[in-house]
Amino acid sequence: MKEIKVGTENERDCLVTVRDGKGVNINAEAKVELTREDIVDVIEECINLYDVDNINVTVREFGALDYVIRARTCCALYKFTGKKVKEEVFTRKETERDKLRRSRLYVPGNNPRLQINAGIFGSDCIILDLEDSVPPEQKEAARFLVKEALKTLDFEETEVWVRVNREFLEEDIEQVLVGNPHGICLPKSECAEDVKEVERIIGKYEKMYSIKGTKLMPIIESARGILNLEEIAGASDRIVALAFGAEDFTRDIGGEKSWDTLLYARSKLVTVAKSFDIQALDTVYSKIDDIEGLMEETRRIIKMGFDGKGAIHPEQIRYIHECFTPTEEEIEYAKRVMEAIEEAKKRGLGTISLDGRMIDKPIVKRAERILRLGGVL
Amino acid sequence: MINAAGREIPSELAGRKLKPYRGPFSTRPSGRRKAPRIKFHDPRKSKVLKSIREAIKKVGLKDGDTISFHHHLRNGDHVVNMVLDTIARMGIKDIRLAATALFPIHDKVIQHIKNGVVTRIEGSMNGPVGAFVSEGGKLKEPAILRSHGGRARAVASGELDIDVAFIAAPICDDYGNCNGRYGKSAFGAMGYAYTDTVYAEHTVVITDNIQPYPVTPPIVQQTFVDYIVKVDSIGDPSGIQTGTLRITRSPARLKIAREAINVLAAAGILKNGVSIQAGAGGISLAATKFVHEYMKKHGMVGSFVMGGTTKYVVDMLREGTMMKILDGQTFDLAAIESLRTNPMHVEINNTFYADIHSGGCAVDKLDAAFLGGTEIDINFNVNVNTHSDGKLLHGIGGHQDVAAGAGVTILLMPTVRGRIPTIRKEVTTVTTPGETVDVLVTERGVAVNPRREDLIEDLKGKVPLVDIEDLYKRVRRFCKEPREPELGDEIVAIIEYRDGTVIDVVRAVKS
Repeated sequence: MKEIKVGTENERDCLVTVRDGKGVNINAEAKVELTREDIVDVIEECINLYDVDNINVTVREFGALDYVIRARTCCALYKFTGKKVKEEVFTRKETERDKLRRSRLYVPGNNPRLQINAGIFGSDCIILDLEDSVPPEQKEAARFLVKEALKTLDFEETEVWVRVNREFLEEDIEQVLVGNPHGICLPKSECAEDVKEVERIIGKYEKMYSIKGTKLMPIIESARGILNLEEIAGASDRIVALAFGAEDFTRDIGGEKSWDTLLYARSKLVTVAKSFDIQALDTVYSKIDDIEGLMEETRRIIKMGFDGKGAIHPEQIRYIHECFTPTEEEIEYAKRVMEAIEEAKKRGLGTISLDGRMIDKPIVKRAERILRLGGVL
Repeated sequence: MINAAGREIPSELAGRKLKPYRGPFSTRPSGRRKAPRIKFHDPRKSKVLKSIREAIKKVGLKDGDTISFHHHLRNGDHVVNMVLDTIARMGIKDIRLAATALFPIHDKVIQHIKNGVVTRIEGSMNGPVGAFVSEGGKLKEPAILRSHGGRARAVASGELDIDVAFIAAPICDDYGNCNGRYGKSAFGAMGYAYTDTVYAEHTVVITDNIQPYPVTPPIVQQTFVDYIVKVDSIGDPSGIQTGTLRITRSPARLKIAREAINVLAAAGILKNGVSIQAGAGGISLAATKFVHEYMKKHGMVGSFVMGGTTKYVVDMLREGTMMKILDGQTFDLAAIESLRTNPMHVEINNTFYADIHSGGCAVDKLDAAFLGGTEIDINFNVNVNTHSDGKLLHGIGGHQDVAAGAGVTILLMPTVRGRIPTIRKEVTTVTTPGETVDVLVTERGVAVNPRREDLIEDLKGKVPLVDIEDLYKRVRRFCKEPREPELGDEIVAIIEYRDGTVIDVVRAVKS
């Protein structure tokens, strides 16, 4: 007899078991009995969606929201029937190329408990992860969960991305684009061909789902990737940022993780990104409790020209933002630069000077950036 | 009739006329406090008896009487069970059980309800006993739940007329002087016990530690104590002290605590001389710690901190961000040690703490308070007693008292627990009226009660505010409205307001 299990018995999750049956039988055990019938309703919707007549569905629920129950049940029904069903595609406003991306919070794709509040910590981006944080046997379940999370959860103003698996590009993108994320992170990007492949798949499903504007963030985490940075950066107009993955990179070159080991890779990544007018985003800081270390590293990468840093814990976000926040003096100076430009424009002057110093394009650009980071622009 | 909190209240219940809640400061008491029996002790005789049975015989406990307990031993208490078992064996029935609170360890009470030993309950029910009573048809009269201040008021006025107060004490002398600070079962402050001993007809101390006269400080005093019984153990220390209470590690809950401090700081409340009610729940514990850090950073010294006393509260005193602790309930070893040794750590009783029908109570002196709850509605009414499925699972604690007394009352609450949203159109049960609750801080935003225009003005441009109805709607997008529980007609409990009026009733849950 065929039996499919999806989900876990963890807090905020549920475990769905699907078996052959005569007619439709639903058996739900709820953490709070009052909500049991609501849970049954969600499962019925899923059964109708998959158009199954004979099935036994058992669910044990541990404080799971509807989206989790839907994701677990649909995944089980998909595995059981092999059917692909047509779903309504989520509508989301496209993001802007040069949006602030100071912080990006990585959230495990198969863990409802960590997803529900992902949007409340004020990070500039959330990356729902199907890759390294999801063990192989949970990949399918994670796809469904991330899709439903994208359709349901309140991410407020945060930009949402999905990090897909290199090995399952099409399976991942087919599912998660139904939830219409702002962009796709492509891990282990090593050459232009890698980017072109993911671009082709995104294009295919954008067309199928009548959506557009999905952005791309290649993650560079190998020697080959660093070597081929230029062709990667130029391979797609969807690319808005290059991200660096230090853990895999260090392993790949057979080195030991240190500032010096990573300096060349970081320098090259920032240089290439800026030459293509896209953002450079630094790797995550993996020691959660070491706030000082996080802030020191963040300050250093900002000085190098990086536009953002990865976070693996919500508590890291505010410290990263603190590092990116310009000082009062910097903001004052930037304001004066902008005023000087306005003044020069009014008076029709070609060259602009402030405090006896010529103001050229890079200075204006820097001033604009400071005002944006300071929340003035 | 409909009371001022908008709840339907019967005008009479179980032969008692109910006064509807009319507003937080609307009732004016009249008459006199209860005068207990004039006592006499023959100094040639001993107060120390051999057994609980002997004490019960001596005080003449009989069918229909009211017995009281304090809950400082929390979930480690052995005394309630020991006394009830003895009463049952002696064949006494129809007892009104007035423990300040019952815990899961007291699930034996269910047996005593079933066999007719306990037929009425006045006091908090945490967990199994509450769930059992919720089913309906269990008690002769609806249970009565009161706040800490409300209970002290009812005991003093004689509304809750105690025949025998059984006082668990970790140290006692042979004349009945005792406190909660020393001995293997030490629990710290004894705030819940004092008022009962003053007004009860008889007081029996039950202790596992008799020490030479005089035990000091005499928090419960010899003048009120009739008998003393020595037993092997009054409680299990692992259930009495909570150990060092853990601050929440949940980033969402930490965010709530941090936002609460932002609100207080932006409103200009955190300054020299400030007084704060601290909580012992995970989020309020974090908020207390953040208040301490903020005040330390800005070199501020507050006047006093009150509420469940923990290591984090003690840190404020030790590191000079607060001048004094007013302590009615002590939670961990660090706090017990501080109470023993630091004269600025002062023990208070519940009349002093929160009785509105007195010459004034300490909650009135609070600038700000952190509180929790199971639900809040869009009119800021708070439910701390029942869950959204209607089951009665928690006591009131000091919630009503503190909310009414504090200058700014801040509710700290996540918007979702499991599948259940906490912001409702209408709460399942009103415990604390919305007019005494000022700010709701959640992980998804801060909402200020529109009645507090002054506070909204103070916070403008400093803390982003949301309308509570918008917050309600936003949460519904991913967490739907729970069904209404099916309730029967039977009223299983009365939720009294601190002044003795009725703010709500709890009906039986159909299983």
